[in-house]
Amino acid sequence: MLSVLLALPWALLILAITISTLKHGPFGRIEASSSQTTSVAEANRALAQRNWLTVGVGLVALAVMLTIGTIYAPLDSDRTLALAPLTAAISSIVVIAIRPLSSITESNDSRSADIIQRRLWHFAPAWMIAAAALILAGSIAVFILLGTMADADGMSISRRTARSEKSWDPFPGFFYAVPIIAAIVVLGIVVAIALARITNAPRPTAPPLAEVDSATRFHAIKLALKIGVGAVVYTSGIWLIHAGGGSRHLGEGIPEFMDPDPSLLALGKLLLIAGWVSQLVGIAFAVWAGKDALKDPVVAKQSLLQK
Amino acid sequence: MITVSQEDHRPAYEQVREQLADQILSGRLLPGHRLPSVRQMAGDLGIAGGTVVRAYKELESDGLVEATRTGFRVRQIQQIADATRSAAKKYVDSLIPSGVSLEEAMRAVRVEWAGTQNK
Repeated sequence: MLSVLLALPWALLILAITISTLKHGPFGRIEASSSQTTSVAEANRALAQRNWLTVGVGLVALAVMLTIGTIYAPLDSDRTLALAPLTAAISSIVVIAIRPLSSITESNDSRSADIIQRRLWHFAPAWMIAAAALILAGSIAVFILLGTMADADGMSISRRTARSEKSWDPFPGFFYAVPIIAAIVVLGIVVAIALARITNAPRPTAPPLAEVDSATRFHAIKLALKIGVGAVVYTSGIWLIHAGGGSRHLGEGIPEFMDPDPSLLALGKLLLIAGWVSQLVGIAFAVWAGKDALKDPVVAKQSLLQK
Repeated sequence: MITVSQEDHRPAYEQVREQLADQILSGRLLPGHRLPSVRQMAGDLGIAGGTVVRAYKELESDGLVEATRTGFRVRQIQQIADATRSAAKKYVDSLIPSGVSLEEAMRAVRVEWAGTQNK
């Protein structure tokens, strides 16, 4: 797990530098009347606060898990560190679930409602939700697969011949995979709750405000999905690298005692490449989520006709 | 779309019930159309969930909607005949320029209807 310790702070540093250099333009612009502009500005302020809270809570959760894993390590540091990105993502998405949107005030004396049952795919493309679900399910499948390759202790992998034995740890057997799979399932449930709450939050019906509302919903959905997918892909990357290292190590054999195994060597290379790519993709998603979190959802410009 | 107004002195559930009934009877909401969940409707209109439940229950007892496991759906009902709607449209068009309210127009219809029945 030393690579986790080494990689995570660098990843966070890159993340922080990248986010700080990004331009934080608004997510979208609309024209609205002066009263609507005020209402949108208030909603935007509340959403900006929520976004900062989302990022802050996630970073605090990450710091807590890293501190427990590296300094205190009360039980076992490897599993605590492995759960750090997922715990941070769960904590961040809980903030979105608690405060999905800030309602945009339409009028003081009347309120309107559309007579259709709102669905998630009214606000975000269905492929985006399906892709996120597929990534979560795929990651669980990968951990189960790696778990079946490991030794009975669930934390190492071995290769035995008549003349010798070689082993490698840590390997993502079920000792590590079970808590990670459980965390991915919890993350999936929290994301589902957040998305349901985003969909069901009160919605205005006046055209410019409805447009703002749709944009803020899409913004919140993308934020939740990027955080969730980023954490899962990053965690999978860490363990694919460990699995790849283990497979390659065993595949190399031992001169004079154990013949090299080309299939294990090839699998090792494949897992290592997949691991590094997953880690980079995970960091990219985290940066992307951070960039979105720091943007204003929508800026309402006062319409020239309605001033 | 339906609206709940504070200027309307009728209870909120009645405002919701009446507007939904109008849309169902006029055919704008077709049979099988799923009404928004109680939570969604209550949130959008800024009213209590119980108020929406009461409106939906009254629509159900009027035979306009039916409760299913997944919520309330518009029932198959007899639509207003084209001739009746056409006559009503002529009446409404004739009243609009004089600024007559819906309540007054409906009261006039009830009075005339009752008079016809008593002849």
